[in-house]
Amino acid sequence: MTSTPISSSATAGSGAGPEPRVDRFDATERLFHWAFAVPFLVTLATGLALYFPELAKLAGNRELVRDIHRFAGLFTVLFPVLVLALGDRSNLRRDVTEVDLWSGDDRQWFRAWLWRKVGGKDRLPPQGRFNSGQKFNAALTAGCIFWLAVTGLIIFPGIHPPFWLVSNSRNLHDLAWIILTPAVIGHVFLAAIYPPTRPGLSGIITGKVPLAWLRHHHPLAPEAQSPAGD
Amino acid sequence: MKSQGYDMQAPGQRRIGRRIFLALLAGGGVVAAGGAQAFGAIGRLPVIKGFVPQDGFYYYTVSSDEPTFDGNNWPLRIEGLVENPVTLTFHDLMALAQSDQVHDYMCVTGWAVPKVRWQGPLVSTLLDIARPLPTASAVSFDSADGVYTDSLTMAEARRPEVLLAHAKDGAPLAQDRGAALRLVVPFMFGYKGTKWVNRIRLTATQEIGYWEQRGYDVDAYLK
Repeated sequence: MTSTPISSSATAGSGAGPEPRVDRFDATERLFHWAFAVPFLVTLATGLALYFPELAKLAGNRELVRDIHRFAGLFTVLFPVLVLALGDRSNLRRDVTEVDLWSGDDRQWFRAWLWRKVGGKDRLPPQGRFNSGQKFNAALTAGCIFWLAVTGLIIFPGIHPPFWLVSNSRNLHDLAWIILTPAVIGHVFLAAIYPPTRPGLSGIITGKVPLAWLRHHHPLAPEAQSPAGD
Repeated sequence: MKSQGYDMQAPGQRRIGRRIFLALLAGGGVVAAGGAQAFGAIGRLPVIKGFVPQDGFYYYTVSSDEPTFDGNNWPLRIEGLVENPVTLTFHDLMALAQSDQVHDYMCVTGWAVPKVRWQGPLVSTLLDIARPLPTASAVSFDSADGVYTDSLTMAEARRPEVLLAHAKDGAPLAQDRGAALRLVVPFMFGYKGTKWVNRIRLTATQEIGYWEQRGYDVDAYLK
């Protein structure tokens, strides 16, 4: 069968065929994301209710809020580990490498992006699978989660460490969530609310994103080069 | 959808992702080792500042309706194994001999506030008014929230540091700190200090307090 060139449908407006979509995240990547995100958001919400007086009054039952916080926190680590143990890790391993390695353009992108927040007009170089803001967010999240998990386990019930250890763990726990929470808010905003970037949200739900979106935001990603295969 | 399209380390690439991660690990370790001093600043950060207490305390409650005190009416009932069960008004309490003490406050969950000033009648003064029967060996302090309670042995309750505070740091006790009356037991962790106290009960055996029923040590002496 010979291929027929698709002439106008890809560029036509509404009423044309479905817009071409390409793969972005495989099943393990998506499962890993949600196995982390769902218990994390429960942990964050209950944690805020343990910390802020007005939320504590709203919640009332501190014991219940505390227990949900403890177990959701435990699951925030256990569920993703389970996905890692049972899933196909090849693409996740590639993602970790992507997050780790920053090209000169990545570094330039990050500087330009920060500079633009204060009115700069620097060019944003074309980015690959992840832009360096996403890379930064991933590394920051991993570092904060490490300390939240370690200090959270130290202050977990049933363990009675000396006061100085509880105290330092609590303080580091607070510092870690205060750093991580704005990053999470930024991530959710860009992924689900901000119009230019939110078309990518389907990538972490169905696995596929609009090709046009990928070509615009991640032009150097290999999937952005391939013809639309749906 | 395999990884072929992704080159491993190419020229000009640097391992920055792991440096961010490792820097956070190292930074956390340094900060944790540095002790609590660095952390007073967290509650004073913009945004957070407007929502957390600025006196160094954290707010804990176990019930969703916080008792309120209008500045006048706060009947305190003293009952149980006493010769003279009595209800004292807030004005009765203010007319008693007042104690004025400064102590560090420590919470078992890992925070502390240095040099807190408390004012109010000693618990031993209140016990003298109610005259405990010889069979009484412990004292329970109940909160007006209807849920929280904790207890001391008679000997602990009579120590000269144990008071029922109506003022903190020279000002009337704030609602969130337990107004009208809050038990202060400076030699024990904060969970012994029932807030919004409206009833004192003398018992034959020591009752187990709210958090103690949920795993905390009945012996709350600071260690």
